[in-house]
Amino acid sequence: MVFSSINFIFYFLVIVIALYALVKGAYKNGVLLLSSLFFYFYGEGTLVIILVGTLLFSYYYARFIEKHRKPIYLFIGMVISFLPLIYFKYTSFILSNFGIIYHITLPLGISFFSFQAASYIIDVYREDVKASHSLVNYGTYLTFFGQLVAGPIVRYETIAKEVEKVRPYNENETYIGIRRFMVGLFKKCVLANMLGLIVSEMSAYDSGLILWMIAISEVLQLYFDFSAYSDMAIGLGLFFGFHFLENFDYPLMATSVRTFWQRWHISLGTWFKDYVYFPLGGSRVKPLRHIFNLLVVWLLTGLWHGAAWNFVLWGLYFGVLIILERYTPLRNLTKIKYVDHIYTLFVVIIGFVFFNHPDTLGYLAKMFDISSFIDPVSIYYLSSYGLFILIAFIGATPLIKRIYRKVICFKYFKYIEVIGIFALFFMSLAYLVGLGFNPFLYFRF
Amino acid sequence: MYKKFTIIVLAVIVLFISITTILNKNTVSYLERRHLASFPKVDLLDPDFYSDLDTYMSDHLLWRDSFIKYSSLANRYLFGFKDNHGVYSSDGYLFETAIEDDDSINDLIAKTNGLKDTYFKDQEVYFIAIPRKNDYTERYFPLDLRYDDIKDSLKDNLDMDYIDISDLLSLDSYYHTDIHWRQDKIEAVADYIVRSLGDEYSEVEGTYKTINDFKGSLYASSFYDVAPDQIDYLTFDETDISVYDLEKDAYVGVYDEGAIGHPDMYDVFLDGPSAYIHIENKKAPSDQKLIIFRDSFASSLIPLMIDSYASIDVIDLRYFNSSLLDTLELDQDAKVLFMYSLEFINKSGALR
Repeated sequence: MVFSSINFIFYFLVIVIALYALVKGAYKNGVLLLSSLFFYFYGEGTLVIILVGTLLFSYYYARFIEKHRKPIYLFIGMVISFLPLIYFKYTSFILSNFGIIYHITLPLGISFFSFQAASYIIDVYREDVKASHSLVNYGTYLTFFGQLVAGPIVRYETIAKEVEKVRPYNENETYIGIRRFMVGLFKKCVLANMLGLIVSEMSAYDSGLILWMIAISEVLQLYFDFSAYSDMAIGLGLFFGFHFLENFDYPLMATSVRTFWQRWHISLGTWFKDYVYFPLGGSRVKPLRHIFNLLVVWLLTGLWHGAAWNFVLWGLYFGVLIILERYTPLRNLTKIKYVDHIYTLFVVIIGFVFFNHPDTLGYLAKMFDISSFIDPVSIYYLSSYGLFILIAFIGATPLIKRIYRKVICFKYFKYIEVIGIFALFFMSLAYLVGLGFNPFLYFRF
Repeated sequence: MYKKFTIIVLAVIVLFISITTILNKNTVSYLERRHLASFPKVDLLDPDFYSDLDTYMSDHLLWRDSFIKYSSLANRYLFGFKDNHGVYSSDGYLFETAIEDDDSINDLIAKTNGLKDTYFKDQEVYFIAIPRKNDYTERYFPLDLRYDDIKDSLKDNLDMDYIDISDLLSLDSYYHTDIHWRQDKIEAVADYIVRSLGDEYSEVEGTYKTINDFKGSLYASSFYDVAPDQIDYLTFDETDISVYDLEKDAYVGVYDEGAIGHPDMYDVFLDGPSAYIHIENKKAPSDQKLIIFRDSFASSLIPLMIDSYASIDVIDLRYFNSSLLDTLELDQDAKVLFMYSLEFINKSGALR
């Protein structure tokens, strides 16, 4: 089940909120846990057993490791934690390199909940948090439907206090949660889905201009889709009294590749930083070792996003750029106003060609082929879709947020905001039904 | 206060939509011209049940048609789209974009030549490609499939006589909201085809009946700036005419007035999509016989030719497997006409 579906909005959420409101105290987490397991079962059927297995293992193993803090136990814990992920996600890829075709269905969201479970065990081992002594409370954290299948990757310490206590109804936060959810729903149903449809319609053509429009639209689609899920997760979290950290911070406004990744899927970047990069020594080592550390992190980042060589290349591409920004004159480019933005956008758009097109080199060659750059079809598509792509791009900048901050002090703005919330809701529904196009991009995560 | 108001009003709206969607018993969407999904068989352990449930709920959502319209209007007036799902309007008509598919065209040529060689080697065989209405608008549209672009390819490669009807049509010959041509505007086309086949044309005498509010296949994807059409169909005395539908294994009328009020009212012509229809006219002035391989365009044309032939066999190879043609016992003296629209020629994958 996805958030941007009729069943989720009008039935699943209604029933869960009603049950959540009806039960008292500690039972509220029980409602959330059972709802989340049903939410997963609804989409994945019997593969819910993988989620339940991860839940039970990480819960009991964290309690074990809390009492037996030895590196070997941590190592064993990590191996077991990542075993399902490695099997389901990477077996087919590994075997395909030996010419063996072996299809395995990837359980939805396994990359997210495996990383959450592993981080919990590590944090308990490091004594950053205490192991939970309630399977229901811990299960509520690990399986919460709001962030189960598309993130963000929530660390246990972020909501440990909230999940372990009774969370009273808070009207203000519910309102903010609704507002955030509606923004996310609009970003997903209108902006991301429409961009996806535009990409799909233009894909039959391959003039340079169209390929550039496709590449730009794909970056925007992924941004709006992914950040929309984070918005909706944060909004849903607030409904139920959880405060998740932000996962996106206007990444397309970044002035370097390094800062782009500090703004894009922040929870994943933080995970790799805390559990891989820093343990390897981070940047406080000799340059060659630092370069090695960065390459390891970006190799893993690429593999996290998908089990295929183009994802490996995609990760290494960004890793190499970050190394160049650190150790070569490219660093200076990231300090010149406007040039830094243009440079970053350019390399990010090119980078995501690796992500979206397995035939990356062929695609890039056509993008830069001047001889067939413009034709009547590309001009038509530019004139038809150009405004939407521009609006989407503006939507990916902090401009709306800045305007919001200026007009929020206006006396009657709160009423305009309420109208806006309903407008976003109905427009999202209109596009959800009208487009008939609602792809779920996280099937490989 | 306004926060509480927002939460309560939103909750009421969501509950209202939830309940009315469950209670919605509609089975047909006239706007989308399709049957809505029916409630799936409940099997909580079957993953298909949940995906079917998603489809059902989406199909039955309250205000679904309005939502579809508003999203189209937003695309046009808010975001400046020039077409909506490949449909655009010009001169008061709706047009559909298309990309020329050479593989499909070549495939159709090969299959049609193959049928001629296998079944109709010693018969007169003809081919007609029906132009799209896009051919009759002045507006230049880059994503298009033009009659003139593929006519030569068909003429050069088909091993049969080619009849060009493009000069007999105009924009006015087509519905505003549908891809098909209008029966009341193609009498001259029927006349020309029969004479091009070397036969005598006998004009059908009758009176036109009208069906209002015909929302053609392009209507749902439009920006709703073109009004629905009306269908005019020529009715006549059918006393000496028999129309046998093989799929139904029954005799049917030339027109199926039961289709009026259904999602696709174009099905009023010749019993809608049918694999094989055999028409006999006992009062035909000659014993001329015709076999037509066709798509849906022929459904409205054939009634105009009904008085010119003693029998017409109408075969739709989307629904009838060509390897079974022998079972039909087609007349060896009949002339054979392959008549397909450009849309079909460009998407001939359904040919069996």
